[in-house]
Amino acid sequence: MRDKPPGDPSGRVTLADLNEAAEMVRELKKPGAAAKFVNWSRKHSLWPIPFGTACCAIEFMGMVGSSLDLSRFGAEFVRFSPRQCDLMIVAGTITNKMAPVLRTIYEQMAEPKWVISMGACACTGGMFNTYSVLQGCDRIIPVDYYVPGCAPRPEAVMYAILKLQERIGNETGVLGSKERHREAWIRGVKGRGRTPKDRLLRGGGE
Amino acid sequence: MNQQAKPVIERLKSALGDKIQDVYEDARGLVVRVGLESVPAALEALRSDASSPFDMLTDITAVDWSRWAEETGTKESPPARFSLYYNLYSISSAARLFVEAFLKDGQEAPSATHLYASADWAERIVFDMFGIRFSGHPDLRRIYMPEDFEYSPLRKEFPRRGVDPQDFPQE
Repeated sequence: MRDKPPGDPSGRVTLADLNEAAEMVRELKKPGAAAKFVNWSRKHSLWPIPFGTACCAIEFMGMVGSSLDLSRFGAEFVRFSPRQCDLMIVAGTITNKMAPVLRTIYEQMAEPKWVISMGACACTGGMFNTYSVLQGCDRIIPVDYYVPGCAPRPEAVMYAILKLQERIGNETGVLGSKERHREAWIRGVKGRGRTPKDRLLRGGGE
Repeated sequence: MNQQAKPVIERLKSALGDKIQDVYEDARGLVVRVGLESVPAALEALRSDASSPFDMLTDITAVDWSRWAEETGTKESPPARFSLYYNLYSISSAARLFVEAFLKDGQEAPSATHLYASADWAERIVFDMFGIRFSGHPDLRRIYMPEDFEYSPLRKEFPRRGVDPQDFPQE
């Protein structure tokens, strides 16, 4: 099984993909093959939900639009219901008043789910270093990939999605979402010398 | 003072008498300073002015003067800690006018909601940011900050990064 999209370098589904899928179906009898097949399906059918609260959402629209066309990479269906999505893209400033909403929408998403934090505001609070702004959305939800920039180029977010697809393809175990979330949490919060003591966490999951 | 606003001020002076403490013009425009208790009377007189009725209350805002003396180095300190500014606009004559009133910390201001519907949210913003209460307001609660927030962020003693520093390295 190849890690990168075969055939067409732009990532379009080609005949080689279908052949690969057929081969994987033949290999399903081997141990571990089911997980590989599920991962392969998941990583090419990410459904993003944009949590757009500021100007980063405009760049997100550029990414989904026809000239850059995110659908080449299998993340085509941007849905606005969290029940239908598995990839949340936090694009914009999260105020303390908005934080409970973000947490609620994250919890409404079905497992397995991933989060990309897009832009300086979502990652660290950005230039809004004030009393009213959450200093990084990783204080309340586990983040898989951080995209720096103000606002990041759409290509940067696409790169994060490609990296995420790479990781989804290499995940071990189909149902490892809890462990994955814990890992993401530790990467995001502890990795930057923080502890999740925010009072917004009271009563939440995790 | 511009010629258009002059008759308005004359009529206001005849209506309110010595309740008008000061009339001056600066970068904002024309400012009429009245005592806190005569704000509703001044607003009502301006709203029902004969030739240019100030029928639109654009905004109400407040200023915290508590660090004015130390930050500017002036010896002249304002008469009280806070001042309210009522930003009035006359649609028919395209004129703008400010009504200014000083008040002490903890003093309640009279609400203007019975005169202008737009005073409702504007007074809630002032209450939220400065902690100034308005007597007679129908629904005085926070509008920007979360309901369980306990502070007044635009008061000078409030730290810019908030009282919960969110384990963030301070400057």
